[in-house]
Amino acid sequence: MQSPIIKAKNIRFGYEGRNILDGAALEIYQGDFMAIIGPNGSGKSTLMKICTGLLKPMQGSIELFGKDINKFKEWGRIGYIPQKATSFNQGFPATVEEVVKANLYSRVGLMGRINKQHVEKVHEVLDLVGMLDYKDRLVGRLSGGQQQRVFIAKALVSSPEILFMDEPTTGIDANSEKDFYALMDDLNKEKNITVVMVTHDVGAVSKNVTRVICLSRGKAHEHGCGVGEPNLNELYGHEVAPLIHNH
Amino acid sequence: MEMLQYDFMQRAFVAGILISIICPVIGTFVVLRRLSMIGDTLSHASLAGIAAGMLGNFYPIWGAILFSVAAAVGIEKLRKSFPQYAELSISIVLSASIGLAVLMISLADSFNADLMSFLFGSIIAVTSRDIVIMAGISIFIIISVILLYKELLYIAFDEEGAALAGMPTEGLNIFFTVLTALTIVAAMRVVGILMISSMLVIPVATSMQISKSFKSTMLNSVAFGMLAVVAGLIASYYLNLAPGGAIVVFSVIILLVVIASKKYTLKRAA
Repeated sequence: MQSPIIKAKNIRFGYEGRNILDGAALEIYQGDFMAIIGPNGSGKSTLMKICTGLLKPMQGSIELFGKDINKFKEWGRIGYIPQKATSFNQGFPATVEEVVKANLYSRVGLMGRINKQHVEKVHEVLDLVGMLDYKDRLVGRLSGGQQQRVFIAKALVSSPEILFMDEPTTGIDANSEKDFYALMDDLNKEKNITVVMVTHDVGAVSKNVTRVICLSRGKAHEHGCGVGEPNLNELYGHEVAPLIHNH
Repeated sequence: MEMLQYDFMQRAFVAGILISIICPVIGTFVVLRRLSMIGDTLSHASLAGIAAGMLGNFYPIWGAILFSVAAAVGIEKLRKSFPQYAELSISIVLSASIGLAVLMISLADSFNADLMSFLFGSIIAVTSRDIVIMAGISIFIIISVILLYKELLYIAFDEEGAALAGMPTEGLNIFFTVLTALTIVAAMRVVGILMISSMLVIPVATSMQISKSFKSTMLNSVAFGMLAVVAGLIASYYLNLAPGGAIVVFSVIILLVVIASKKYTLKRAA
């Protein structure tokens, strides 16, 4: 049986005495296209940040590619696009190419020099997301959808095997959202990149992803298997659109 | 040029050129990280160091280096105690530095011409020893920025992303703040403690009006800084003005001219 590339066990995390995650567990397998859903404050973003090492859990263990997170060094294998990726300082005077180049750190290391091959890689990922023609444009002058593509390219430049995204479709228009899911599908199926995203967009999730994890009351529940499946209306506290799985 | 026949003016120009490179280079990161207040804080820490030098009867620049670097490390350490209020650590160190400086100046009874030259800048006060130290500091800063360019850019743009990429952001933040402290020490002889902050900020603000990339922002800010320093030193020689004030006034004039030209160009294009 395939072993998980990310394994989080018995995760506990809270603020000011209130546990947001209380014994949550998550296993992510190579090739998954996973959505993490749940009401506001259920700990979706927190769980993602814990899995990427940006937050330390109060209790529990995380393994990344078979290694304990505290011993893990190959951060280039993990891509992460935060919730507020596109709410950066819009006046920051960096071009699209400069922003993507910045993430070459995981390939070249501290004080490492960027060579011609690295620049070609930057152009390759910009081409993949359809932003190569914009490489010399200031990133703050692009639309929300274009900026999101730049951040995807920035994550991809380190050749990650898994891509974490926190509410990636927030603030982008319907067309950009459609393009986004097409790109994710391509990355997942053609480039074999595992995709994990936190979202509220239950409708879009049902059409695109292969696994759904619902977070509620501090725990993670796999949705869609039919056995012990939590009731979405109960999780959210109000009526939500049912998930229809075609996969 | 007649004024360059004088040794003190040659030294002032060498010092000025060095300042006009390192201040905007470091200032680019300072401004884009929204840490503009850090210049004032570290320059006041330098003042406390200078007063300590006068009190302890040792070369004041050593005191300035020691105090400003200590303040730089203090700011970074305090930042952790107030994670949601990064600017609070700067304000606390600023208050402590002013308090300490005033205390030591009064203890050393050193409110004299020498101290005034540190406060407002002086072109005649720059010694050969100052030039050697400034050159050493400037070379160290320029090499550090060249080697850590992509790291500093990444942290300025997205510190969380830089940390996720495995970058030692905490160590780099402390190192960058120390570089800022050294920049201030190098610049204070000519520009003056009270006006250093403007040399970190104004050329960068001017450059941001017209630049189309991060690299060009940095290079253009150096050009604007150099223009202001050269104009300021010439004015200060012929009109017997404090060089710091003249340099800052020219920086502001250049900024206003660039803003006005940009507005005019945009208006014509519309």
